[in-house]
Amino acid sequence: MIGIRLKANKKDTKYKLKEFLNPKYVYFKIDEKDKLLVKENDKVKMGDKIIERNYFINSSVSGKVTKIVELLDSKNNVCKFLEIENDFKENHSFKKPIVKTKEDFIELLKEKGIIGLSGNGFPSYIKYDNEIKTLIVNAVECEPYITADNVVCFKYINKIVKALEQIKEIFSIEEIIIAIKIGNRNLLEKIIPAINSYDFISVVQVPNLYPMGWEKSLVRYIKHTDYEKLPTEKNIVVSNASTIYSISEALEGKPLIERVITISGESFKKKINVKIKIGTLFEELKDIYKGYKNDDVTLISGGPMMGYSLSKESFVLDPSVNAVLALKKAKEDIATTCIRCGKCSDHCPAKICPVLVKDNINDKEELKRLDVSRCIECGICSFICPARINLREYLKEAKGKVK
Amino acid sequence: MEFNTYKGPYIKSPNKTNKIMLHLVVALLPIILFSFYKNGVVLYKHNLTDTYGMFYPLIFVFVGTFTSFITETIYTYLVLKKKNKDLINSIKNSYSFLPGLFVSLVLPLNTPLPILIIGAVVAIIVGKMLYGGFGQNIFNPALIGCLFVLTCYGSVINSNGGYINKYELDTIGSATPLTNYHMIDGIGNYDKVVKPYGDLKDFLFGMIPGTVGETCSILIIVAYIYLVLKKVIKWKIPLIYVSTVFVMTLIIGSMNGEGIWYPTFNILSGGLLFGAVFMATDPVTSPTTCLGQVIYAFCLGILTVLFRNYTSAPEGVLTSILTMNMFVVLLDRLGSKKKESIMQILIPMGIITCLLLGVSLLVGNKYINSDSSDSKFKIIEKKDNYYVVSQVGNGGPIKAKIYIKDNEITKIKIIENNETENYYKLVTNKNYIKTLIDNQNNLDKVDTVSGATISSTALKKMCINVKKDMEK
Repeated sequence: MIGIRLKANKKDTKYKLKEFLNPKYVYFKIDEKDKLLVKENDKVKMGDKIIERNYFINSSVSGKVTKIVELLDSKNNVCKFLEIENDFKENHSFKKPIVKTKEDFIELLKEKGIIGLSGNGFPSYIKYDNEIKTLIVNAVECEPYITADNVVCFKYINKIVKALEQIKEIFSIEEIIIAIKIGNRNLLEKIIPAINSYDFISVVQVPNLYPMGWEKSLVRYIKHTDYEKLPTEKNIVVSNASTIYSISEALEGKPLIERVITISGESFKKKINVKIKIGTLFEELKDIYKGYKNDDVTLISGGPMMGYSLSKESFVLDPSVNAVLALKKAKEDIATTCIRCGKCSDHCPAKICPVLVKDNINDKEELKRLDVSRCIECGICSFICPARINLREYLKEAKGKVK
Repeated sequence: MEFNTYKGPYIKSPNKTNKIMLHLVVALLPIILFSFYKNGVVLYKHNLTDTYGMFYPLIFVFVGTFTSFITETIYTYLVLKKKNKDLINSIKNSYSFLPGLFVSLVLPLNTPLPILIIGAVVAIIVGKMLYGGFGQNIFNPALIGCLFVLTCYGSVINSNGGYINKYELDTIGSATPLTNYHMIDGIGNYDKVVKPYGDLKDFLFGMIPGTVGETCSILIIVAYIYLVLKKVIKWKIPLIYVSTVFVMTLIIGSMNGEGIWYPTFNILSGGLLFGAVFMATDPVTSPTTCLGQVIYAFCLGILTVLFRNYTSAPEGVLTSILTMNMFVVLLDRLGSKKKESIMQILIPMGIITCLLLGVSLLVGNKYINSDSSDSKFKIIEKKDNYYVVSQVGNGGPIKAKIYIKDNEITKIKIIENNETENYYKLVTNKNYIKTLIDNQNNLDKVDTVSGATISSTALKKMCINVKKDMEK
């Protein structure tokens, strides 16, 4: 099994959950191809469709559409956002849908705007629009600090299991596997009684390695099989635990308007998991994280391995953000000469040779031969490099070149 | 509040380059201290040297290390024109003391200090800086320095005592085990190959002649384990390299009816372990891909066995590593190929296996076929009362006229020789020829002249061969 052991740092936030569901404003990113379904000064209810992509984005509060503003997104880019002012009335338009067939289910995922909540925001309807034999519920969370999936699994396991049962009926799935990290006893004790009466659901404990939560690693470990691009090639779907929870809510009629994020890292005064309205500005959570312990702070959206550092606190928590971390700013490391130790190639879970990618960064043919498009940007090469060379950036560049 | 932004990951492995180099030095320390004990303390205890001589091994290692450090600093300052902060940074990140340290460990202690300094300078300038400095060199810098010294000044080192320290001169009194092995025609046997040095335990604990760093096998094995646990070196290379040599020599040995001692001797003697653990794993000059490393190590093993048995030099590790260094880029290309089918691994491995078996059989067969006749010996003229013969020595054939009477050698007259003057003097000075004539019926028991082992052995063999011919 290829991977590395990282210090987990998860104790501080484990199973702690708070709510912050009344932001003053919420913001929704508008891409170029998006179709706006509301105008300025329109009144919206919670759950109303406001933006159409290939799926719909629903308002997470009730209130008034005010304007289009430019703000930081969770990857520290300035983007256009639709601003909605909260009137705190929580009027909603939820209706319990009738879902009987696969087509109904796909339609539901589109309507309720369900996307993968683990980080990359891949629309779920694409995943489920296949013949499915195995469903893997990914509650591994291999990135350090993050416990959002864990706490969701811990608190809402019954709801999740109910949703799983329904999904099984719709797709006639043969088996459902909940993957958790080995040694996570509390969670295991919570899950086992909940799934006891369902013989098609089982729990698998996976090794405490990063990136064990990567789909390919999970499928390889659990099903002992490999696939080219997507696990659906082998009739397998991997969904994150939080995503399954939001599907369970969608089955009740509630769109994806809330999610749980982890606020952690040694520099936050308070570390906790928070359920927030999607589109909240991180700034508004100040009462929850209560400022910083020290001055030199690196603010990160996402995990420490795959996240992005942010220049301001006023950035938008879009649905793909699973954590906000404040870490002590590391002493600046200047990259030194590559000694060709080969650690990056040894540890790459996608079996790429980052050192050779770096050497051949200007040779497009060679980059194609090195198959850089397999890179999942897990960051192990940059983490492990003793010369502190940020190899992931080379790989990103290479990926762009061979596209 | 504004925050600094930079590209992640935001956590980093604590194993930085400087830590890796530190672990390397830590692993080398016991080896250096052992050399201090073997070549210094033991001599002092037997009153063979003074206090300076006792600390000489440490001084020797220090001179090598310091020379390479100073050379690179001067080079960086004068040629690369780096000043102040740039200079400090570049010195800090290039670990320039290492090539010199290794040069001093792979040379014998009897290397005169000026020659050691030349070796360290060549290692840094030719082996490293001319390629563009740290991380750019193709060949292992220390081995480049060592090769230069051994080619240009090998005879000087030999005449200065070669690989043998004063204590060993008294107790063992001949060449290094590999030189000794090399001079035996055919595969030899335990009594001839190992016995003169004690037993295999002495090989393991390093009380045998050799270079400064290479003798103590057990410490090198401990260093290997330490370096692997600390994730410093590419662990596959030494393991596969040494195993390959073991398996091949096992085949060669058993073809000639020798037991397990033969492969064990091959592994524990010479620079094999030291070279495998410290030189073949030099990160800069070894492959980075897994498959590349595996093939690299296999080839090193095959080449070492080949060089040890088929070239005029007794040692094959240095040349094997330098040879394989040339193919690193190629091996990495092979190793980084997209794995589309299992054949991509099976084909190179198949070729390797064929090579491995082929070379083993070749070498093994060579020894089987080499009957008692000596290929280095030639009878040029044969008369009733004298022979004119030639026997290959150190510098080429030694020609001699040997007078006989009643199947006894009466007089040996050297007609022609290409031996180094120093050696030859040593041979003549010690009345060696007279000893040979006196002991002509018991030539196996005659000791060779230390310091001129090869030359004296050649003369001895010449007599043995003439005797054999007369008996026919």
